[in-house]
Amino acid sequence: MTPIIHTQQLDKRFDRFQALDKVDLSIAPGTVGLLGPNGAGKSTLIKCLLQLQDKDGGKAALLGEDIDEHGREVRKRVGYAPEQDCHIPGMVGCEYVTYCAQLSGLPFESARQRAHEMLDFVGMGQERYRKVDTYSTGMKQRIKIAQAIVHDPELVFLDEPTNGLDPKGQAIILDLIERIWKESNISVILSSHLLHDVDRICEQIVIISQGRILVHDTLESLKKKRKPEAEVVVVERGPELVKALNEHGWPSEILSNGHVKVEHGQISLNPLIGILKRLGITPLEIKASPNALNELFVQALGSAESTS
Amino acid sequence: MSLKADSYQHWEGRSTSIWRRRYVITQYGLKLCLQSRVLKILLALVWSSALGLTSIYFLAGQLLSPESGIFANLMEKFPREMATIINGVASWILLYPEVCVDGLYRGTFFLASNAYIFAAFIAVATFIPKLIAHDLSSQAIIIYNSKALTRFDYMLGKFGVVFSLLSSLWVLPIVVAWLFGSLMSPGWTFLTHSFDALLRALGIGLLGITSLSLAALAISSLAKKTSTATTFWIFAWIGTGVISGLVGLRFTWGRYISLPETIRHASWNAFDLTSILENAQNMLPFFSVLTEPIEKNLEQALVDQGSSQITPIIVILLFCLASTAIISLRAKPE
Repeated sequence: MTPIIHTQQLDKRFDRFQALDKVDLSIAPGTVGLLGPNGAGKSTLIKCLLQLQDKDGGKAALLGEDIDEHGREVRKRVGYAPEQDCHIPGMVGCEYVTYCAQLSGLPFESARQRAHEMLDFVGMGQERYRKVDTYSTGMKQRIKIAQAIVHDPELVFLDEPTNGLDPKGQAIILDLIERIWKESNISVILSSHLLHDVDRICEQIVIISQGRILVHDTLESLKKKRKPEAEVVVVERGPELVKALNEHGWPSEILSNGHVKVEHGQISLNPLIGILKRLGITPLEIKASPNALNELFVQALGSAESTS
Repeated sequence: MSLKADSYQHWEGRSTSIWRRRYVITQYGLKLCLQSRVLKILLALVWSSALGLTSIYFLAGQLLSPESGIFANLMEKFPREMATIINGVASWILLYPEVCVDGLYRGTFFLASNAYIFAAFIAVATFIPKLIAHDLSSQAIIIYNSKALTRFDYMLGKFGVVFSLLSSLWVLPIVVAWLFGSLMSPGWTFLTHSFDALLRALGIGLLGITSLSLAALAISSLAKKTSTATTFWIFAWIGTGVISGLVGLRFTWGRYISLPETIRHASWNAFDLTSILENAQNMLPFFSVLTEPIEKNLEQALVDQGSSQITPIIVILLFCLASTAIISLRAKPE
């Protein structure tokens, strides 16, 4: 299967700051979470791949095509929703999306029809006839997604698409992103520093820090590599449960919210449930690896800092 | 492709060519610029003047046709002395059409070009922020560059906007006036003898429009605010014009500090009005009584302008190169 992104020794400097440090990456189609703290190089990586910024060295290919040789043509098959607002002043929503479709190579009639379809897809109603300048943050995020997929790309880059949104707005955008992959098979690169967003949607994870790729794997495989753990939500008898689990050889502790965290190391949760039954404790909930991504992220950053 | 409510539909169709995508940028830019009322008024004025030019060529054409009804009618209305002079001029045109027709067209094209340069200045001032400055301030430049376009395509699309507008304010009115003037003339004489003047007008017009378009794009790319872009343009025109005038009194190179002034020098050289007067004098010696004072002034003006014919063109090309370099550096995502 052709990787959607393939880079070799990709380098980018801003004066003395090394934004990308010889990045080697090969990403298979699907939903990919690009994680990293602020200033890690996530947006720079995307901008270099889209030739919005000139790279200083190395090679990069999108959808199997070298960007130096076929940059313009390959961008016909790629969409991009930038982090910042970047609408064209004075344009109304549907006119803006139609114009973006035309810039991507759609004839006017198709562009107009497709713009309305995509505005329906992102859930925009009559607002499409208003000037983009007057939109709320949530509307602006939706129209950015609409313009990114209006030309039916094979790959779409979404840079911090939930930035500035309230929880409800975030949920709507995340649902939308999930549908892009599930309904249309468009590969999604979701750049975010919000682990929850990525954990919910993405199959693959790329963790980047100080311009270097720290981790690249599927979320499932990453979770498997970790010693399985669980969080048991109990109303009472927490200390008794911790004592019993520790005696069983499973390190456990009571968290600040009163839940019991246990490193059980088992493939299934059944042995843990067996212990709970034996003790006569009825949990309200058992969460398998609840903060796995968060811990993986912190662990990756920690190991990178200790190496540097 | 069917419309199915809020479900994703794939698009199957043929992509447009890169020239079409560049044209889309130009088309939208033109739509945006033509929202300005001042620009519409300018276009109306310029095209009215083109109509005036056509009328002049039409009337001049009538002088070549002794059996012209309009001419005969006019003669009846003029006093006797005036009619004699007009008859004399008509005979002279008939004798030396190559000098008279060429002279008429070169002279009017020169005057029209100078007026149209000024119209171009005002026109650009009305739309300069809409070229690149707005795209930089709203970050729309990121959208353009993330699509199937390169920076060069974007530049070319924007160049198309200014070039089209300035052409319709400068070169097109001249071409249309020439075409209709020639078509309405009684013979092929006008067409053949005015062709040289048209080529000169086209040459200087296209050079001027290209350089002004690039300069407008460069200045627009330097500013992010509407007011800044307009101020830069006005300074680039009036400010450099004044500096050029002052420095030019002392140093020859000072005359070329200002792009509009340089275009005027090039225009003066291109139409070469002095040679027209010399030809007129050679063919009809008594004509020197009329032309000598004018010619002296023109010769003095020519000396003042600097003798080199090619220097203004080289300077204009250098302005073009510098503008292109500025646009390449500035018109890109930050």
